[in-house]
Amino acid sequence: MVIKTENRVNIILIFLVAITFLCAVYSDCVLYDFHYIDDFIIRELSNPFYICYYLPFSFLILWSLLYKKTIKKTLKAQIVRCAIKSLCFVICSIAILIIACLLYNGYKIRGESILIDSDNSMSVLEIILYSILLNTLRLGFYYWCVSTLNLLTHKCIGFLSILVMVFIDRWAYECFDVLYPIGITPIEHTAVFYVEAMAPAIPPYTRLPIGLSILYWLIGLSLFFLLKAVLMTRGIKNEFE
Amino acid sequence: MSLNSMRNIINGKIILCVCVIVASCFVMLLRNIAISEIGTQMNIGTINMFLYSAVYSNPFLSLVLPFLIGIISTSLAKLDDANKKYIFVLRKSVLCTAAIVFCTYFLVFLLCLIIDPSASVKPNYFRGGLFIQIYDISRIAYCFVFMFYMAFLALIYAGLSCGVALLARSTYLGMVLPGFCAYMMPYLAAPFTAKTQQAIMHFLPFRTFDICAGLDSKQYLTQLLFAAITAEILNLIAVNKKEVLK
Repeated sequence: MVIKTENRVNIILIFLVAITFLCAVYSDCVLYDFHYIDDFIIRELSNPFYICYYLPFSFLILWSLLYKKTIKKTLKAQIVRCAIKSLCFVICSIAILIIACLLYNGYKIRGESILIDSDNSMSVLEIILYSILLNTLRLGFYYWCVSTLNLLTHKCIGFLSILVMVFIDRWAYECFDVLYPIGITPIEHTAVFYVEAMAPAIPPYTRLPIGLSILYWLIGLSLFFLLKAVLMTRGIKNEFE
Repeated sequence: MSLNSMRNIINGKIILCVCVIVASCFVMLLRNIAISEIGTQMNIGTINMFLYSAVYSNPFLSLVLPFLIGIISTSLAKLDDANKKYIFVLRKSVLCTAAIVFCTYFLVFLLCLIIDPSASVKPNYFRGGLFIQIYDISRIAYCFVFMFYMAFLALIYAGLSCGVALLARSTYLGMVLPGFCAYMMPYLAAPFTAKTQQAIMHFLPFRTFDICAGLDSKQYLTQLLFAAITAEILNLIAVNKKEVLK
C-alpha cells in the first residue's frame, strides 16, 4: 500500500506533536512530583507553560491538519467545526496528561475542593470543566485570529498573532512594570487559578469571576468573527490558508 | 547585486519580520530596565542598551526568531525563473536570510547608538554565556560576534525551513516546524536521567538562540552541527526529488 506524501507528513506531524507534548507534560509531572491524577490535570490545565507554550505550539503544527478543511466551509459551519475541533484538541491533551501521570505512578484520585485564590475554592469537577471550557475558547480564539489575519494580509503569517499572545501572557506586565494583574492578559482568563503579575501573590488576592473570563473570550471571538464575516462578504478569499 | 534583485528580496513579509525583531528588542529592554540592575544606572549607554535588548535576557526573541527566520527564508526560496537551477535559489535564500538577520541586529545597534550615544559602565553581574572571553577583552567586539553568531544560526535554520517546506510540500510547515522543534524538542530528553539528558542536549536544539542560557560552548557547537547536517540532508533529498517552492 502506497501512502501519499501528504498523509505521510500528517502522520509524522501527529506523532511528533503527541510525543513532544507527552514528554513536556511528563517533565512537569516529575518537576512538581504529582501523584494524584486530578490534582495534576487541574494544575497543568492552568499551568502558564501548558497554556502559553505546549498548547499553542501544538496548535501551530496541527493547524494545517485540523483546520484546513474547516476554512473552506461557510461561516456557520466554521463555528461548529472550530468549536468541536478545539474541544477535541483539549480533551486529547487531557488524555495525554492522564497518560503522563500514569507513567509517573500517579494512580490515585484525591477529589478534594481546591482554593483558586486566597478566598474562593471550587470542586475538582468544576475546575476541570471550567478549564476545558476556557482552554477551548482560547483555541477557538486562535483559530479565528489566525484565519482572519491570513485573510486580511493574504499571507500565511497569521500564526505570528499566537506568538504575540505568548508575549502578552508572559512578559507584558514585566515590560510595563505592572505589579498586580489588571485582567487584560489572556492567561488570566484561561487559568482557573489566580495568575500573578510582577509582584508575588500576598493574601488577600482574588481571581476575576469565571463569567467575566467567558465574556472576555466571547468578545474576542466575536470581534474576529465579525471581521472575517465582513472580509468574506467583500469577496476576499485567501489561497494561503 | 542589482537593484532589481534587491527589490525581489525586500518584500512585506521581510519588513514585518525585521520590525518584529527590532520592536521585541526595545520592548524587552523596557522589561530588563524594570527587573534588572541596569535600571538603576544614570546613563545606560549604547553597548549596555544593545546587550540588554538583544543579547541578555530576551526570551521572547529567542522563542520567536526561528519562526521569523522560517518566514524570511521560505519567502525568498520561491522559484521565479524556471531556467534557474533550484539549488542556487536555495543557497541565495539561505545566505540572504543570514544577511537580513545580521543587518537587523546591526540596525538595533545603530538605534541604540542614536538613542543613547553615551559610554556604558561594564556591569559585573552580566553573564555573557557563550563568547564570554571576547566579552572580557572587548565589549563592542562581543556585540559584533553575537551578530555574526545570530547570522550563522539564521543560515542553518533557514536551511532547515527550506528543507522542511520542500519535503512536506508546505510553506507553512517550513515556517513553523523549525520553531516548534527549537522550543519543544528539548522536552524529548525529559524522561531520561540527568546524565543522558546532558548527552541528548548535545544534539537537540536547546536554547541555541539564547547565548546566555548556561550551556557550554561544546553543546552549542554540536547542536549547531547537528542542525546544519539535518538541514543539508533535507535539502539534498528535496533537490534530488526535484521539489520546488513556487
